[in-house]
Amino acid sequence: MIRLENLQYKYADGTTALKSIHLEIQKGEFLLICGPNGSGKTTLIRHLNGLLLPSSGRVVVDGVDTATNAKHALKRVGMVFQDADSQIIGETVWEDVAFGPENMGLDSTEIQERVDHALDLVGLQALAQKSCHLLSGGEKRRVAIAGVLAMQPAILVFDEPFANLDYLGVTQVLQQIVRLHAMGHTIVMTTHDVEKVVAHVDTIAIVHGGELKTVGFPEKIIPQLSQYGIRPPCFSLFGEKTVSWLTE
Amino acid sequence: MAHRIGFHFHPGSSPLHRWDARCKFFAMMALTIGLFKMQFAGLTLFTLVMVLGFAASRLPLKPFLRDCRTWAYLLSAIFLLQALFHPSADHVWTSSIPLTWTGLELATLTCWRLLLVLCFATLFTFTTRPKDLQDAITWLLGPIPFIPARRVALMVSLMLRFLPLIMDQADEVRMAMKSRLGTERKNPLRKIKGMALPIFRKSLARADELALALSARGYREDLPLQLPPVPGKHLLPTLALALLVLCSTPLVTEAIAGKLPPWF
Repeated sequence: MIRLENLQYKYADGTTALKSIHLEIQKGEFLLICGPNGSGKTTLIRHLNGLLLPSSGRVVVDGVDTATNAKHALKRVGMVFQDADSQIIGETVWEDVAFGPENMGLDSTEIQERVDHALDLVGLQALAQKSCHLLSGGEKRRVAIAGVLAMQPAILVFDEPFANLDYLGVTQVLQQIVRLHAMGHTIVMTTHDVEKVVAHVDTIAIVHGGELKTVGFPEKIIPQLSQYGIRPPCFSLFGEKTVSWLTE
Repeated sequence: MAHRIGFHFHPGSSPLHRWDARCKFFAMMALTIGLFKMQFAGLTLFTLVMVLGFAASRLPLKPFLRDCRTWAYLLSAIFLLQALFHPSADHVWTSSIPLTWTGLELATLTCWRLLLVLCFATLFTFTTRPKDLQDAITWLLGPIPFIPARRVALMVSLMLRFLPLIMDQADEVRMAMKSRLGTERKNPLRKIKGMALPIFRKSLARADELALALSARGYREDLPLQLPPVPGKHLLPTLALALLVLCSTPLVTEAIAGKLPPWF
């Protein structure tokens, strides 16, 4: 579904942010990209929908190179940013969720349907007419997710979705993500806080110093986390079985 | 962000980095005032000075040129306004197209001056530690009664500190908009609204937080300024530059060379 071939990215000042990254993301996969702060996670995922273009190498989404058709990637890959406030553009929840479908040039009935559906999915229908700046952190994050869902992308990319959220906010957002994965969406998520989501992911990739160090099933990768400066989940430290944050 | 040069300080050991901030500040003031009085010859000379300054400070050119793209929009708008709306009769084509030679000349001069001011400002912030700039302003305004020198200096240094952050924030919002196809909008007003709202919201929230953080860390304005006297050798380049600025303004050049054409 998404293929990264020898991806390299350099900032204009010459700093190499990503070095020779090869990665394949399969349809329906839940991939967790983890790494310490400044390791290149955000830069990496911004290549998936063509927001950034590789300095060398290529990113192919459904057979289409993002360098030749970035718009295709933007439609296929929805991205939820780390800071929901950067992403929220509308004054009310409804207005914000409608922003993407409006840009796609859809008619008003289709926009209405998509917005309603997206708000239902994230459980925010009751807040549709509420001002975005009055929402809690978790609600803002869910508005950001709804805004992306309304564009009906096949792949959803979440950049540190649990940052600055309390326990309730984390579980609410995690619930949405797990449900979207169950519905068939391909999910890519970055975090340095593996514990919250590890029970639900199919694959883990470790990015460190701009390099993709390893990719594999959680049980294989979890023991390697600490050597790359990532805190392993508690259950693994105590030698216990995987525990989901959604289990009460 | 690692890829922005404009209005960021970058540590270094170049002569411009070592130049006393007070002297540099005076030189910058003389330059800014002088540039607005200069004609083509003076501007050519100071373009050369600017290139030398860039080379001396080892300012990376590629990211700088990238930053310039943002300024290009503003300068283009100013150029068009000046070129098209100057009330003179020497039309370039016909009188139905309001483009005049005088307007073109004026627009070129204005944009050249503004571009040089921006370049020198970039060079100044690139080579001057914000704390040194703050101290320089406090030192400069200190003797003037009824002006809260330390507060003004803090505001200037905070402005320089936060301008790149706001620009980074604008980049982030632009990317978030792009990822939701916001850049596909035809209506520029909708685009501006989409950009402006989140940026203002974030900037105001950040300003609130900053005020609280300053209070929490016991900010006070009555601390004495501890700066050594300006070293004599640092004054020399300031005086030389001020003299060069003075000699490049039309008043002096005309006095030296006699009657010269107005474009000189």
